[in-house]
Parts: sequence; C-alpha cells; structure tokens
Amino acid sequence: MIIAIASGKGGTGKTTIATNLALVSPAAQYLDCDVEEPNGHLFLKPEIDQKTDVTLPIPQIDAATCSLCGTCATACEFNALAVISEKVMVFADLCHGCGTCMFVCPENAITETSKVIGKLENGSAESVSGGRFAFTHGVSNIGNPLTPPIIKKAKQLIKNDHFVILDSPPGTSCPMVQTLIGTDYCVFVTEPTPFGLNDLELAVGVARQLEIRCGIIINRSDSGDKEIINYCQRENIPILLEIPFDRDLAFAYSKGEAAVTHSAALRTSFEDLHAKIVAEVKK
Amino acid sequence: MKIAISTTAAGEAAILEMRFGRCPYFAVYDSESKEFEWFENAGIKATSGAGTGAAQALINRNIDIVISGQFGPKAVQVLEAAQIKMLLAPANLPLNEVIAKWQADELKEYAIQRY
Repeated sequence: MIIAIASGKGGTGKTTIATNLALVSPAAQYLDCDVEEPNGHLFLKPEIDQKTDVTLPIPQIDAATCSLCGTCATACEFNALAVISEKVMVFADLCHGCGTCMFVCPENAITETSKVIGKLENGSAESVSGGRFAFTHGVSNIGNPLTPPIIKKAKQLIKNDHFVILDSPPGTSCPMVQTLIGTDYCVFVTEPTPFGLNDLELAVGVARQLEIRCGIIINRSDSGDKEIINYCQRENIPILLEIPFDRDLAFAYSKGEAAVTHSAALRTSFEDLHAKIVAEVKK
Repeated sequence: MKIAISTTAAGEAAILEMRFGRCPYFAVYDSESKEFEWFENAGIKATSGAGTGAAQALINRNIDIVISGQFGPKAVQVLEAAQIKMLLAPANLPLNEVIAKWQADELKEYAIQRY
C-alpha cells in the first residue's frame, strides 16, 4: 500500500504527518521525496547505512564525427544544445536526460555521459513500538534544477508489501506529480486559511487528473475559518484528522521531537489515522 | 551587416523589448538594404532554454549584432561563442531610434559577467 502525504501549500505539516504516521504504522517504509529540502530525518533520526549517487544522462558530442548539422539542437525540447560555427555547446543544466539528441543524430556522434544531480541515503529508523522500519531520502545537489529523476530513483526502492509513506514536496508541479504517480491514496495536509484552501483545490485537481483518491488532514484546525470543511463536504472528500494548535507540540517539534512520542493522545490519533487510511484504500 | 533587435511586436511601430530570450519578436535590420524584417521568437513558448534557443535562431540567420535590454547568462555564452556582438538599449525605445542610436555609436556593449 503506497500513500503520498502532500499538500499544495507549503508549511502545512506534511512532514509532521508523514513521520508520525511512519512511527506508529506496522510494516512502515518512509521515503522523503521532498528532495530539495528533505527534513524527515530530523524527526525520525535514522541510521544511514547506504548512500548512492543519482545521475542524469547528458549528451557528449564527438567533435571528430559531428557534422554540425544542428539536428540535435532543433530536436531538443529544452534548448540544451546550441550549434555554433565550430562546435556544439551542451548546457547540462537545461538537459532532462531524455536521449532525443542521441536518437536523432544522423552521424551517431552523440554518446551519453552521466552527471551527478543528487543522492539517495538509505537506512532504518526506530518506531514507537521499538521495531525498525526502512528509511530513504533523496537529496538534490544544491543548484540542481531537475528533481523528478531523484524522486523516481527513490521510488524504485518501494517495498510493495509494506505500508509505504511518501513525503511529497509542496506545490503541484513536476516533483509533486512524480511523487503521486502510482500511489494508492493521497493524504493532503492543509490549514484552514484562504491560502490553504486555494492550494488544496489545486492539489486535489492533480490527484483527480491522476485518478488517485484522497483524504484531508486539517492542521492547526482551530485557527482560521470553516472553508476547508465546507469545501470537503461539497467535494465529498473525507476529513481524516483535525489537529488543533498546541503550543507544547510546537515546542517539541522545534526540538525535533515526534508528536507521537510527545503525547499519548496524539499517538492514538495517528494509530486511528493509519486505520482510517487503510480502510479508505480498501473501499 | 545584419542587426537583430528584440521587439514587442512585428512592424515598424514596434518598440524594444527588454528581455532577450523571451521577447515576442526579433526585428532584423539589414544595414545595406536599410530594411527590416521580423521573425517570431520561438523562445517565448519554450519550457526552458529560451535564451539558448533565441541565440541559436540568431546564429542560424547569420546575425552580426544583437540589441536588447538584457541578456541571460546562458544566452550570453552562446552569443559570445558565436561572436555575435551584444549591445544594450533602453526600454520602450522605438525601433527607428534604436537604429539611429546604433548608427551614432551610442549603444553600450553588454559587459559579460564572469562567475
């Protein structure tokens, strides 16, 4: 069972939900797909035992066989190649590694070389019951503009018989879509503000395009307005959990302490959340 | 000599567009025939690499000089390698005045930033 924890709006509590859910769920596997700013490790404190580079194939032009015809530059959707009078310039930052240039080159002058864009770190973390569960996070290199290949690579480590929790990047662009693809269910974490609602509507739109069912968690539920609840009723989306603001909880969070170890009541809430998600997926 | 100018529209009434890679049109002025022609910049619709794409379009049209309001770092690399001279002109300047300033040698050359 593969669950994405996503949000639309940033800072609503995706990682709080994802990490706490991982800590209480039996046979959990946690993957932090927010590779530009992975922070689940701050709360799960995993032991990392394996690190692997994530690479992107980028073109390498053999100057001796290249006829400077420009077919590659014309074919490149991302304008990553430019042909000047005496050579082909490759802009690795713009390259998406699709291989089209290599495919269309009439002289077979293009081969692929790889560029490191980030890494995966694998290990395990301790759950509240004392057992260990699989932990992975992707880390994008600073300045790397293309994160979906790192997310894709992280998702290759999914263990199908586990309760897999994907901690999604915020927003509704490619990295979030890459995270959601192939999941069984998506939990959107939001806050009861006009900003939370606006971005939630966009995120639900993505899930519907991908034909993934979703449920909502309202964080800091006693602040703001009732518009999220109205929206969920209107759209027939289940509200899985409401978490009121709690100063003690915020204080524990600021020290990297998980909510489920901080409060017995929250541990029960997250165990209930796990059961609700499983029930929703099986519906 | 062929001079390309980033413009907001096609036609002699067009004014200078500040952006190089994302300008809607390029006006090409032929200093011998003293005539303009225009072409649409594919870069305006590009998902990425608008600057490198626009620079490639100028190379393919054998442009010698390009006048715009600003050049992005990747476009600069391509234009410099292709030995196309980059000149800066102020925003909203009508096309005929851009050419007049170029003829009077009043346009500053783009200073390439080295990082």
